[in-house]
Amino acid sequence: MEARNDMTLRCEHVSKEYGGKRVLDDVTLEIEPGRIYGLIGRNGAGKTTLLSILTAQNPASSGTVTLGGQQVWENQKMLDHLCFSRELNPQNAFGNASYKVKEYLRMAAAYYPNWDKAYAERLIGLFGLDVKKRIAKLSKGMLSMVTIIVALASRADITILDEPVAGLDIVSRERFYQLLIEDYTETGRTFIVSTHIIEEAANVFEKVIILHEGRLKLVEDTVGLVARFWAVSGREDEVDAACAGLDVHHVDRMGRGKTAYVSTEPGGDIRRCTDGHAVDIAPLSLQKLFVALCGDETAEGETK
Amino acid sequence: MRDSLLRNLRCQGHTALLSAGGVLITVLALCLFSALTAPVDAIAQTVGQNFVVYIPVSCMLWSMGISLNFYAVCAPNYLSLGSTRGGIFVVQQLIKVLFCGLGCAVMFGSLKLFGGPQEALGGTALLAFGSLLLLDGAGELAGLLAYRYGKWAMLLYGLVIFVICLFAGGVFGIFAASSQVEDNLAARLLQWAAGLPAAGIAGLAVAGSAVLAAVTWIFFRRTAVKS
Repeated sequence: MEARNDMTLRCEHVSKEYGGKRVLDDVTLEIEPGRIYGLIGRNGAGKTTLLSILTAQNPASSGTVTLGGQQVWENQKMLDHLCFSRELNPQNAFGNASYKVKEYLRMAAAYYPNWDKAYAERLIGLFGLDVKKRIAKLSKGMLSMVTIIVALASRADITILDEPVAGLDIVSRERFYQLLIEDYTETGRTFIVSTHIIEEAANVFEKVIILHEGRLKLVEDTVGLVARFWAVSGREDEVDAACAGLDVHHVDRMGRGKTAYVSTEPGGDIRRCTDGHAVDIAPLSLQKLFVALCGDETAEGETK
Repeated sequence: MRDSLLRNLRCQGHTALLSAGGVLITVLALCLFSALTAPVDAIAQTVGQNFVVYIPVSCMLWSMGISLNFYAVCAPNYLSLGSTRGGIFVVQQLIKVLFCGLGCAVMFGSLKLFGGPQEALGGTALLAFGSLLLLDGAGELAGLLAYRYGKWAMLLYGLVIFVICLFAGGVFGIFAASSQVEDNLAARLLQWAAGLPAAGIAGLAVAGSAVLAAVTWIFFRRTAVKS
């Protein structure tokens, strides 16, 4: 894999307001080259807004975005390294809905300097896409396919996909993840994938970015993140005693039983806290971890 | 920068060529209409005379729609594919001037080639050029305002244009009425207009277009691509 050390994408203290409402609040983030990032967050968390600011498609209200130390805004040289393949909206009266698929791909080929035409054609065949159809007439799944083709065939150093698997059936989703891994293995380029289907994509993400209510909740290696989150369940008093000193993010109660979703420090051992208490411990999946961190605000969330 | 401009020129130029094709089809359709409605023994003469007028008329019919459509539909698409706003804007201004200039050059050349009223030919061509640019500029700003702020902004913009035209019409009317050359107001208006310096009016129109382009840039430079 070829290293791209000068392609670090940084946003520093980025905020975005719409009519007095702050949708992104002081987000500072560094995207290292040659990794696959997963960007997850609830609806309205600010994921698409953040991605559009990173790629200069939306001006930030404050803060800066740089790539390799150079400003991205209105800088074609830097923008040539980026591809933001966003969700297409066929009902949008303004934009690309009036184009045919082949016209849209032709435009993409003109704008992305590393466009791989052969690869695009291979993907069109693989997905069985009718390129003569208008984007406005495509189903949700086909729209996702167009998004994926543009992203993968762009061969941009930093490629961002916003909800690429929305509307795809399970077979197509598996195909997408396979293509992503193949592309990454072959080119070593950076991917940022925003998705709501966390469990499937968890195996693909090297690093996870969690955005919650416009703020950056965490950025961490997926393996390390999952390794420090646990579900501790048992009788309420035993669980409370076992979780003393741990960060408790979410609690579920059932009768006299209780399940606490907790995290340790990186490298920490949960058993040091739970040994000697009559509790069961189980690792959390990325999806459950996300729900514990960003789930129902009315549920108990104790931090000790 | 050069690569970026060439890239934009390729995509935006493709759209402009399609628009030019639309103008050509409109001219041919108008010529056909003219031929079908002209006296049988004067078809060629009628079509030849009207052809010269059809060019700027077709350009005018299309130009405002094209420029309105550009910022509402095309420009956001180019932005979503990674172009800069500056690159899009510069190329579009270039295409606008070329489009209007070409239309007037064809009109000018047709008059020279096929004959017709030659007096004040240069002034007429300049006036057509200035008017086309002004219309294009108005269409650009309308399209951008519609994209950014929605239909109410576009309606407000239309209302402002209407008020400006009312005011301008009133001013012209007062000058024409005060000329006291003829009893007929229309005749006074024509005589007064004929006495105006065409180049000066064209210059005002071009200046107006430049102001509209500057305002368009002020709004466009921070425009976001919508989901």
